[in-house]
Amino acid sequence: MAKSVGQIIRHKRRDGARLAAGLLVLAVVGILVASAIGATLASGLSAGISADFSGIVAAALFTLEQAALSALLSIVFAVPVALALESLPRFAGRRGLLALFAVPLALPAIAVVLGLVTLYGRNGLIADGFALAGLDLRPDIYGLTGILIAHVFFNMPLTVRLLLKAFEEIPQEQWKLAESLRFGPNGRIRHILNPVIRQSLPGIAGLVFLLCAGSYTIILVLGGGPATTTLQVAIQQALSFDFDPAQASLLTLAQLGLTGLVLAVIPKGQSLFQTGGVSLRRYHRAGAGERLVCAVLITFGALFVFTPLMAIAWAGARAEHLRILCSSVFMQAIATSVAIAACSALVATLSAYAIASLRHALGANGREGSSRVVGNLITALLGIPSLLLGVGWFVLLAMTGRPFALAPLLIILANALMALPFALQMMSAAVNRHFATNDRLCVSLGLKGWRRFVLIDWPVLRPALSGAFLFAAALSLGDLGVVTLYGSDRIVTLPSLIYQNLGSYRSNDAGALVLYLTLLTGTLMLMGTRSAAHERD
Amino acid sequence: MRSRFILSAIAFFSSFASLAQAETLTVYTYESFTAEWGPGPKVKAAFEKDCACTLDFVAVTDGVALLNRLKLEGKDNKADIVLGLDTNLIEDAKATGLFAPHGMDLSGLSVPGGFTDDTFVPYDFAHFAVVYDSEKVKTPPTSMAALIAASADQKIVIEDPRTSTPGLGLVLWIKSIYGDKAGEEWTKLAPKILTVTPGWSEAYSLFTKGEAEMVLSYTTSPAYHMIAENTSRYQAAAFEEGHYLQIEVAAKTVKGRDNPLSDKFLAFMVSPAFQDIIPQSNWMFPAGNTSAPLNPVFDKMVKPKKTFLYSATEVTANRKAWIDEWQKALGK
Repeated sequence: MAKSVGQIIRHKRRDGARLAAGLLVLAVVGILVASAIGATLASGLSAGISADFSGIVAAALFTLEQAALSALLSIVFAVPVALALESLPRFAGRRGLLALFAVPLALPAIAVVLGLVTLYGRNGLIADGFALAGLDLRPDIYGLTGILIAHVFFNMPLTVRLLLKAFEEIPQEQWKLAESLRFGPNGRIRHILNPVIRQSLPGIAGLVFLLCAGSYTIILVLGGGPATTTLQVAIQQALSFDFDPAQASLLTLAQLGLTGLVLAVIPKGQSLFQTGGVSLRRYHRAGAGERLVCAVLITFGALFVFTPLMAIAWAGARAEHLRILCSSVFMQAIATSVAIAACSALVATLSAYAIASLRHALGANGREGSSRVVGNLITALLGIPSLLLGVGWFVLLAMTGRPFALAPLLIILANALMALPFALQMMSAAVNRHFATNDRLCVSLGLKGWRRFVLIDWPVLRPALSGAFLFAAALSLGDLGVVTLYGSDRIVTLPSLIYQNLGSYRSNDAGALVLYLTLLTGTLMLMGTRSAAHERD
Repeated sequence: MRSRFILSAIAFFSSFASLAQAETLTVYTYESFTAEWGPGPKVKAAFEKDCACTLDFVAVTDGVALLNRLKLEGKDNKADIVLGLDTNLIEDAKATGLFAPHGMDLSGLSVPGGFTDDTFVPYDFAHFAVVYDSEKVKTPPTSMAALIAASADQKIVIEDPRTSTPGLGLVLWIKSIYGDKAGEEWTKLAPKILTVTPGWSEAYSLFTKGEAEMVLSYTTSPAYHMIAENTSRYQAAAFEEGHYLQIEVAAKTVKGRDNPLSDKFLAFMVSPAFQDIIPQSNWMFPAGNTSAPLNPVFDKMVKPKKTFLYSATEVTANRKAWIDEWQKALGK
């Protein structure tokens, strides 16, 4: 009896620590964001929203339309591919494929646009194919079509990866049970995979929706003209010629409100506290028919992602690599980018861990609703343009008289905030399962604090945490972000070097740099992808 | 290799701690100016040779970002010189009260239309032009009217006037030619516009990828391809009505007034030592005299019969209305 009371107290204390750490991180994130928005609003709220109201409404409607369509299409294409990849857990090239699937999101938008255009453009390979076949057809991707293709290219692979991450958390016993009950593919999907999909899709959909709502270069370049205008374009305009940070803030708040509404109406995922050990080992053997269907689906998904990346590689392959690789500018840019990426990924991963623990503690204490709100708040970070964060922090730091002294720190923080929603999504399921499974064990062993983290948490969560870290690092590597605001000749990152080259007619060199960025990201992701073949029971 | 990598990572974090030394001139500018291949490194070397001082560049994305950064920093800015605004931004820039008159005699400069200002000193210029791919366009348009009347088979990529200088340039160009009818002409041009990009880089990349037959760029663009790539495939079309001019300018700040190096730099900027560097690194025409004639390729560039240029005051007063007109004409 006495023992169980002690256990309850320790239980509470542990949850208390998780609540405290998570709330602290949440508060810091909130202060960082609120101070930026508050400072920009206060910097000169003279005219209010001066742009014509009907224009804003039209922009808001198109933002909703394209983001909802993009999210829907990404998910519709991603679910079958993810199921197929789940069904074939080991085949040559699976790891490489999954690593490739993380690359699109890490590339600067302009690089992706040029890659897609090489394939689908008026002068692209498909157009060449039509010409060879004697057809007088020229694909026209400029407009909603182009925007959707680009957004699906970014988000379908992301969704596949996030779904597979969630599938990895299905306890081994369920697979064993499925095998002993002789479930076919339909049974496995209905009874094992479907609950996991339904649990994780709302979060993923919110993430993808926000990513598409905040898209800018793609909307403008592939949109074809001002008819396809989004709130993000108005925000950029307010931070460009018009230079009216207060207006940019108001528009951002409008965008956040809009996305908040969407997040609120997305059906809530039923919570699923999986417990038990997990393994990538599967007990079923896919039959010939199932294998064929899966192979077709995977090939289709792989081609969709792979061909534009090949186009990027092809465009970059023709440069003088030795000269570029040996130039001091390149060495400096890559060192800077890697340093920024490593720091911001570390911040993002630790923050995501604290938030995931907080969400687990809330959920375990019957506060499912609060847990979901915390998740949505973090997802909503994607709705805030990093340039706006930069301007806001700058206005605040200007009071200290040396606003640029902290520039590297601010770049790291901005990148970390942008990566935080992804890192959280990548580790949530693993953290939940681990705590639900092992908390009691730790209590009975009297393990807590740092010792518990080193002995229990880290060994179990290492794949999830390092996966989140690498993903966050890749995102940060490719992000132009606030560097452009604080930029000086001292901070040159790989993406800003790409833009410098593009801005000076040097598209060959820019192409080569994009290729290096692609390879670097791919390598990082390859390191972070767990291989089923390597895992033994 | 590895130690160099680590060293530059350390340099990145420590560079912000180092304070400027006494004999330093700080110049705010845009990134393509300070790029390895841009004018910046040569300008720095040439200026430092004579002044026994350090020339420090602080670079942001482009001219618009440059002005925005100054607005953010206000009086606390570190700039002695701001280099890289264009004439459309002058009015806005003056309104900040951060700039000081140059007090120089600029009669030696030769800018089309004879631009003068008491604060801003021009250092280079070029006209906006429609650049075309001569392998695809056999009969390039000879006027803006011809471009507008052409069939929609051949496309042009333009830049967005809400976010980019060339985009604004085209709006002003068409306004100069058509005045009150500009909106109608934009509507007629619309079917020929492949897409509108946020900046020059995206537009020019799409063009060289072969997505569009034409792009809005500068009269000097062909010079880059002819000199650096040895190809005359990309050419600028001469328009009968005339071309709109972009002039890049620099000025000293109120803070820079106290630094004797500021005046020295402005004088250096209009001298051949600086002007020689401009044509083949910034790919613009020099505003002042050079010590030797330019590469003969520059003689082959389009020489506009007429130059359009609104005053900075007119641009500032009408920019919003004219961009709205553009947006309504294309937004259908």
